[in-house]
Amino acid sequence: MTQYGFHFDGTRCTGCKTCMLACKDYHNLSNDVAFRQIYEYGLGEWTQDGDGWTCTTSVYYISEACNHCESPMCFASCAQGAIIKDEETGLVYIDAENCIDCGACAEACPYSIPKRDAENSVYVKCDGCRDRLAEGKQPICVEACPLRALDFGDIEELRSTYGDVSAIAPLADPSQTIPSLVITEPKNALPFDDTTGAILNQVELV
Amino acid sequence: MIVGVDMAMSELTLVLFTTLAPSGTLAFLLMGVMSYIGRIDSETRSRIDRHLYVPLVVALVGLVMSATHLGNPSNVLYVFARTGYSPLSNEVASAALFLALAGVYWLHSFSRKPALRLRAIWFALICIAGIVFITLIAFAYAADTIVSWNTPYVPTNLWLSALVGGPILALASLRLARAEFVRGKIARIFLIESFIALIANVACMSFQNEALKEVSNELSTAIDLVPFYGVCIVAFALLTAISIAMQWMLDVRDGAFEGAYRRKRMGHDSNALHESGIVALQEFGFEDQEAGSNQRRADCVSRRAFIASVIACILVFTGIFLTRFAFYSMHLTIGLGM
Repeated sequence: MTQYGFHFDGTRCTGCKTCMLACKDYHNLSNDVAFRQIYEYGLGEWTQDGDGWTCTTSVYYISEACNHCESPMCFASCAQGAIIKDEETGLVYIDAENCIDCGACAEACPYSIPKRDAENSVYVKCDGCRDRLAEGKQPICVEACPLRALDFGDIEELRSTYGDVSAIAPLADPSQTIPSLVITEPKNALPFDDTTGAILNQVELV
Repeated sequence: MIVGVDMAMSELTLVLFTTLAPSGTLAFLLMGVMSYIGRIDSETRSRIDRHLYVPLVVALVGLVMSATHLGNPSNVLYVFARTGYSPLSNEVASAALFLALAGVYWLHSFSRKPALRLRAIWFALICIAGIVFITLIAFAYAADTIVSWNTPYVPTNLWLSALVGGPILALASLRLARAEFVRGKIARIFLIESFIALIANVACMSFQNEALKEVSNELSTAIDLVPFYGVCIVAFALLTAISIAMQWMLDVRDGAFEGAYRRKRMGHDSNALHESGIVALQEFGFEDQEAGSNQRRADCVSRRAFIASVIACILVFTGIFLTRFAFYSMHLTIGLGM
């Protein structure tokens, strides 16, 4: 089996959200569903020091979709066998025919990936653009990124090219689900267990 | 993102399920056990068995409720395919097993020639299935990635809630079944058990409330999702305490009533029973205006007692409901979910 996964280059991402919108457009997602989201993570403050000011602020972006984990919690929690981890590609997708809309997958996923499609009463999530992959194309988010900050492929190859960082703040402890994700750390990246920073764009998230 | 109270509102049917099903199941077991203790006559035994539908319906309403939060219930039978793997499948499978066993047991109470030995074995199986069912509900929420749920407090709370609500519901059901012999000693054992579980549960939830301050991810701290948990715990304690006190007073009054009834009965032959009933009723403030109406009056007394015990059940379930509502509000995963 080849395990496919994403690479995210934090040194390139400007947080423009083109990836997210391309995904929403391609998959026809409603306003309250997004398969890929951008997190703005920042910290620090400005303090007056005599006549001058000292700045300790820093901010970076993470573009985050399903990590098609090696041990997916959504898969483990699904009572229906409606979540499938593809044997060929390792991609994790939901079979809408079996989904009963119970929400256990969304509750258990530490990346908040499965979202409820209220119109069809099923949970939906990133499937790594399986249909495009079958045509030999990359996922739409990867091709849409104007900064070329995303890559997709065999996770082993991605790791040998880009290293093996799979979590920085605000992502979850990777030992829980073993995400198929490689991150090129942005400047001032903080470890996943950081408590000094905060997600600054919470109102934008679905 | 669905967060805190909104999360609990969206899972309201599961709040109801976890309020009703564990207590209903335990009440079924407690009530059923009563038909095996001491030497009760076959009529009382059959009355208890037939009235087992009360806790069974409570548990069943919980289960049906939990099914209504599914957008696609038509696919629900796939749930058994993952038995043994998914905590939710295990929970549903054990629910189905318990309800099937309990339902057949209840039907058997209408049999003209009850198979008593088979009945006892069957009930033992129901006890095992019921305890497994409650335990699997308790652990259904223990996913490694859900930090606020994956704690020892959560299953402990669920079991203790069943131990609080179960006896109260069982007593009300036994009252409906006119299982007179449970009054007094047995009823008080039930109520003391419920009270001890109440104290343990309040302590457990208070520790949990304190621990929630330390549970956080990048989006929130668990305590910020349920700032009202303390209020819920206090409300649960008060409602349940009132409920237990109500049942206790009913039982004391029953005891006094029967004592009076027996005193009047002594020294008379059995034909004087009805008359003595009237006298006993008069002692309790019921005037005898119509001759021969004592049966109706006795019915009136037991109806009032029954209504009071129904109110006691409503109080205790309201209390448990509040704490379960808080539980769903505190959902928080590691990383990015709440």
